[in-house]
Amino acid sequence: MSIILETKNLCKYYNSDENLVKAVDHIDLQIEQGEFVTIIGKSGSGKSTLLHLLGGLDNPTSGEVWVDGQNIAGFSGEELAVIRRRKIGFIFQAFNLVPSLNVWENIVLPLGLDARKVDEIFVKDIIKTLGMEDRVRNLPNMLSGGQQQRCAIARAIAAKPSIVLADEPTGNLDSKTGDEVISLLKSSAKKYGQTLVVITHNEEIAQMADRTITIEDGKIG
Amino acid sequence: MKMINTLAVSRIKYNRSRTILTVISIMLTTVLLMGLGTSAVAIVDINRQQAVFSGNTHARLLRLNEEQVMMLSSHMDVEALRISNTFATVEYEKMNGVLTFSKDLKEGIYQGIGNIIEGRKAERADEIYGPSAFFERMGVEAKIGNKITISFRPNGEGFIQTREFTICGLMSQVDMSNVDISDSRIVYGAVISEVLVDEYIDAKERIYDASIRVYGEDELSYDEIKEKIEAVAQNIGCDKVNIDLNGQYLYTMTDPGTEMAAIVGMIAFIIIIFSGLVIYSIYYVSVITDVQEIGKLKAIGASDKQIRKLLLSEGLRMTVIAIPIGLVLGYFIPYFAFPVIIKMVMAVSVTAVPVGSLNMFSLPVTLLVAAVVVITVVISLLKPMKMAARVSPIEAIRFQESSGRAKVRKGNKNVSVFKLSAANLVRNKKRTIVTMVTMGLSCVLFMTLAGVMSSMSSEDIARRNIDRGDFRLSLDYSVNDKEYPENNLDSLQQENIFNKEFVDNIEKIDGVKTVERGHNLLVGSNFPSEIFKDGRRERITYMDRKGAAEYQKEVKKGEINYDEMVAGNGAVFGWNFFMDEYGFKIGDIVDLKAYDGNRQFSFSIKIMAAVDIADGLFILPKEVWDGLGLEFDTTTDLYISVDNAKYESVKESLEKISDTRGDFVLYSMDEELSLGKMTTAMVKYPMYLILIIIAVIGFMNLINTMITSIVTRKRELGILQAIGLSDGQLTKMLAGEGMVFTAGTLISSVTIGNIFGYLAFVWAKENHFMSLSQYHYPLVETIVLALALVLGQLFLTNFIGKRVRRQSLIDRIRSSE
Repeated sequence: MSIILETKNLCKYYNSDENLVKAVDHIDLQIEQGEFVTIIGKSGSGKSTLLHLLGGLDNPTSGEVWVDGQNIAGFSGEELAVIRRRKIGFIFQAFNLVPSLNVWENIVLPLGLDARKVDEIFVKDIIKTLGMEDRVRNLPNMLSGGQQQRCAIARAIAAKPSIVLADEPTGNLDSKTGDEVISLLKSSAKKYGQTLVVITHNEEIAQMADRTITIEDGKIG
Repeated sequence: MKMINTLAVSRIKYNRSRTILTVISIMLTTVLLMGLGTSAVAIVDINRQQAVFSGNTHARLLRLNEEQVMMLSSHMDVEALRISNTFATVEYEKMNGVLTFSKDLKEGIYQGIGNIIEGRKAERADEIYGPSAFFERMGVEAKIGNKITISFRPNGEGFIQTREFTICGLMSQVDMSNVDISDSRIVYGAVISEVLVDEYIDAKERIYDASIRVYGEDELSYDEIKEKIEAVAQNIGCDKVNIDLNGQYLYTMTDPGTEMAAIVGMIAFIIIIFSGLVIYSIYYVSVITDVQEIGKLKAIGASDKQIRKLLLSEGLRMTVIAIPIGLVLGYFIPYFAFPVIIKMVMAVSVTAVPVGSLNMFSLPVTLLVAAVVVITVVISLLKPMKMAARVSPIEAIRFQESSGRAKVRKGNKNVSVFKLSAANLVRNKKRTIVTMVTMGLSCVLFMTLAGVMSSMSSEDIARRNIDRGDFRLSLDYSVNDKEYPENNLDSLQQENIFNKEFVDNIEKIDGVKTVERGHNLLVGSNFPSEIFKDGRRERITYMDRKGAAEYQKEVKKGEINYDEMVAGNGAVFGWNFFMDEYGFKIGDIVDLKAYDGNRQFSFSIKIMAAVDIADGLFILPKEVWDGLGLEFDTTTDLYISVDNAKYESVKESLEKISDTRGDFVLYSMDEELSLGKMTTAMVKYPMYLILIIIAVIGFMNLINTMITSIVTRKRELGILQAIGLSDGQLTKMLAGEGMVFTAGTLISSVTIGNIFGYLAFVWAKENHFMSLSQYHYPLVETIVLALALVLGQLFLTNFIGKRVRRQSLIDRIRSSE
């Protein structure tokens, strides 16, 4: 198995008024391709910041982030955007669908941004896997929370990224729906051979993972 | 109530950009209205000053004989009477000089200019008084006691007399020092004594002009005074044609503000409607985007009434900030601009008089402007207030910015940045449309006025003196000179100086491309009309088929059918304005006697149509003209076209020819153009200033919509970037959205705007506004508008986009909660 995601001595500090907040403090981490990793920690422990750094949403204060053999630490905004749409799929707690687009359009949006042709068979397959066939034309505000998150999962997978990063994907869902969504996420990641990194508070979900990393005060505990 | 006010204040502070835009819009509205009001006050004041300056005469009755003057002086309605008489024309180089005589028969006529400032009136036959310009023009120092020798022709027709005069007085005069017009267009006058007039002209043969005042200036309206004057004229047998009302003075004294109020009211109405729409639109958009907040307020117990109060309170607070600034700016813009404009007027107008310090401030106008602005704001807020009050608390939780009535969207298989822009606009349909309509409206307004203003061309004004080409040489001839018949056109045409040799010589001047001729022929008639009375003659000319088509566009009565005219000896009446006065009507058959050099022959024509302005009493079709069998050269004008690069050198050569001989007048395009430019600039620039302010108000609206649309989507944009939208694509997407507004606005302004512009032009032309004659497509204005819109739009999206990007992606994604 090859290493798909790796951090070396990764740091992210924030200057607040008087004191320095070390959100991520010298983290070394290796994640293999196809692995399912969960990150757990208290709120404010730095786990979301770590995920953002892994996905190139934020620039580290120091250290390196290697995505599929490339160190993205020094990348420009433009280059990071390309990495995000090709290599990484994001799933957020708040679903974050684009309200003016329907379900299908939301799902194929990352492809559109990359000016890639939509692999319709593949996308339809994802939609079927997630059980959204009858909702493709709906606008997001007509969907339930579970449906919206499934749509977000489909969006994360549709561009065939090698890595899917999820920030508390079940945080806004009841536990039954949450379990459903995680199972779907896990099975589809497996089906399409994707690496899955999930932040969660939920012990049950943590146990479904191949490996669990605990973060405390910006360090791996 | 206190809570609502506190909330209003905090919302004003929180929504800073919206507050600034609204305040600017209200302020600019106030500036426009106040500027308009102040200008109106100033113009009324200028008119008053001008009227007082130009004298207190109510009217002049022209061409009266001795007997009529006596009747006039004993008429019971006449309050004051001064008679004057153009005694003689001065023969000195190419100077237009006259000697006049005047006398007060009933005291009370006052003049602003031409009063004696030094010395006294002329009493003896060898005395003369006048403005210093007259004496200086004749090469004599303007000093009392100086002698001056003048050659003159009594009544402008008699034999030339030469006498020596002593200057006995000096009169005030218009300052012409900064007027840049050729000397040949200025008339110089001086006054001599009655004794001298007695010497040359028998009392029975004198023709007087009488300046009169009638009783009742303070009580009567303009129309009543006019009727009274016409009645007086009728009593003494003076034709209506010969009444010259002092309209400006009468208007100012009887009715100083009505007409002005109507014009100002109309412009103000347009400004108010437009600004109201913009303020409405800003608030409409803000209510749509504030639905969640309003919903939350209602959820915690705010009543409908309180929500209305909240918006009203916000609006009024901004108005209170905006109005004082607007009033001050609106007052001072004209305060500083007017002296400049007046200076420009003085430079082109010979009749205008110097204006003293202007009274431009009017408390009632200021209060009215403030009140109108407040009312406009309140009315514009009514609908948004109602909408806000109707928001239900449920929407606070559920609302996703748009009213969300749509459940499904047909959508596209593929999504691109462009489609993303389109999807957002469609989702916010109402906002998009309201913004586009207001933007479009301001541009339509711009294009409408641009249509009128671009047609107000200095070239058209210049073309009134030079129909075609770059120069015009015009034969200097008389029509009815009995004493010196050799100056009459028919005599001059026997050996026309504009002969082949002359034209050949002009054509030989380096740079001259073509020389075209204009023709005139003298005709007399027994037709019962004042114009042909006592064997008087008039000029006629001809047109070709192309010219007829041009005239047909301007036709006022009848119809110009060229073929029919050729077949039926038809003619167009050239001075429609005087048609009734002269006793002509369509269908009249007029027997004419032509004066072709030393030959005379008769022919008849039938009047088939009439136009306002032409270069002759009748215009015949070329075929009819040619059929007259004229033997002499009827050329009266030469129109010279030149190579642009050699304009100056040709002008020099022509001036050299014209300086050495006094038998024709030279008009050059550059001089006519600069006269025209001044005239148009005075109207154009103030109008464009108003337009630009209107455009800026409109732009405020666009800025508001763009900011709202971007700021409220901060998180959405963050997500898009998280899933791979690059900065470049973000800018492209925002610009794409903006471009839809721009395109919509542009399309409406070049279609609707140009149609309205054309209609406005037609209307203005019908009403003789700035003597518009030809429609010019406002090409430059259209390009400027398009560029301003596109560039402004791009700048705006870039600016807002950058501000959004300054915040980190993570913050933006989180900004939701």
